[in-house]
Amino acid sequence: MDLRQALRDAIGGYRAALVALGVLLAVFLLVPLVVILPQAFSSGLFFKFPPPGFSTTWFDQVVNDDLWRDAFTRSLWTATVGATLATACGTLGAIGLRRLGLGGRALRTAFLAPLVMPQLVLAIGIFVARDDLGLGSSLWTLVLGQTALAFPVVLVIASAGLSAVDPALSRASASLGHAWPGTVRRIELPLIRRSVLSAFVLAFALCFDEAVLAYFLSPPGQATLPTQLWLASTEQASPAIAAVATYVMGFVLVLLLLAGWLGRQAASNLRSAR
Amino acid sequence: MTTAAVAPQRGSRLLAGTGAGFLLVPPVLLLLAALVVPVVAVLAKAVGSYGFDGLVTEPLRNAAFRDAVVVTFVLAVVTTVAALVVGTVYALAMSVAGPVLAKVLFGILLLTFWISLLVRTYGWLLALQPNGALDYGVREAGVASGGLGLFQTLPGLVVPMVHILLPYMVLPIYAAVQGLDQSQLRAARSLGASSTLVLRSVVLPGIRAGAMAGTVIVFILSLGFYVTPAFLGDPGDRVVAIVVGEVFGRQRDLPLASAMGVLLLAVVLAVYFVADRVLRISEQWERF
Repeated sequence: MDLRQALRDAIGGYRAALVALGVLLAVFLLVPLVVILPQAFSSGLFFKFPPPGFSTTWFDQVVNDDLWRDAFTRSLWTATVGATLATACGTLGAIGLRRLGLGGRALRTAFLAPLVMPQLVLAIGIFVARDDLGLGSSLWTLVLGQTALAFPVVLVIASAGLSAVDPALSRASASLGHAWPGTVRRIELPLIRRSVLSAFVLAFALCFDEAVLAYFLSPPGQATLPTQLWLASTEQASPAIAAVATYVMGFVLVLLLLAGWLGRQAASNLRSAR
Repeated sequence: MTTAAVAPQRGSRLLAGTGAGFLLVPPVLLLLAALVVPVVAVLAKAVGSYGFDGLVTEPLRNAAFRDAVVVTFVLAVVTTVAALVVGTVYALAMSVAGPVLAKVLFGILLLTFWISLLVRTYGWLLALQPNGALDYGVREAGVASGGLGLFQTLPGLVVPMVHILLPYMVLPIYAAVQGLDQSQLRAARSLGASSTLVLRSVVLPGIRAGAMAGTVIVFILSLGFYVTPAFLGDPGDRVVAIVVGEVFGRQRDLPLASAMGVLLLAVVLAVYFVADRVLRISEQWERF
């Protein structure tokens, strides 16, 4: 008998109510997504609920609009660089922390700090630091900030992957004569390869979607997709924005499914390695 | 992923020192450049302009900031309490629903978690704005002819905030539910405890650690929230982040924006470190 069954039996009287509330809440969770779709397929020129008719014009229009296309390409670039850096640092951090054991507790807390850092304060900090150092505004400073935000996510996923790897393997590798870089490269990294890949995908999605740093730090005329979406939505009420939002949702959904698939592969890889 | 992810493992001591110093160089450099340097920069900017006392007094001399502190605190408390109640219900529902429905509920939660914050806020804008989707819905249903009037009000901000922060609450609580002791549940049942008693004295105490972790992170995140209040907040009742964003973005008063930012950060970090010390929050988070 599993926990689900035990829990069901134990709180029998509340089960139906809980499940019904859960379904209602799931509907609530879908509200903003469901509201966007009809506007994206609207045939009207402005937002109107319900939309006057069905059309896919807006999807074609935004795909052929240089403003949106450039913003999309720019976001692909920033997210690729950011996710690569975050994955490298996060994976090395997880492997390094494992070697510190209990002694690494303070460092682990510090590594997770970007999770709670208010993004607006980080944006101001990067802006002021850039100013002090006499650097001009560039996408690189934005990427650096987004890397820091994605880093703890990678760290957590890579740590979880490592926890399933028997430390005896690393010790065996060391006693058989590998120096630590060899152990990392030949033993630990291959064993957590899939976790690292799924961490990369999630970090990519995080950087691709990041809006606050992008809004304040994008150089003029070099808006990322979220910045462009933000600017456009304060200026106009065109269904084009809903169409872009729909593209973004679809794109992220694909990334999420990819990460989930990689995560499952990671789990089954480790099972078969045992 | 499990708690084992963080619990330092037996035998890891034997690996101690083998390259740890080198391995930790890139992540430490990243955080130095992207986190420590910016924080030092705002701190230096604020102290350089107003002195150490000015870190607290200067932002508080600003009437807009003072009002915003109250609004932010109220918003954060209301959002956190609502998310705690709703999140507990959702986590328990996922745990007792049939396997297929449980997967669907989990999938919907993850989907909304990973869909862009901006896009979700934008969806709420379309839903809540006058003559938007919800107004249309209630008019058609004959509930209220004039619409809901929630757009850019406090309740109209709390609902989207709870929506956006809910996964941070549900995931640790769900992890805690999965860690409940089956035999304890079955023992309580076979000894004749009612559903209410089991819920009150086995289930809820058992998930308290997860609920605390979720509560702390939701509270912290709602203190510094920017995007959602920018779109859906009451222009007459602005939160701290919006006031700071205005001083920084529109007025370009870097010293004042820095001082306000430092104060906000200090409050957030104080909550984070106290919570980490007392409740070992960072270990709870890593459960998911």
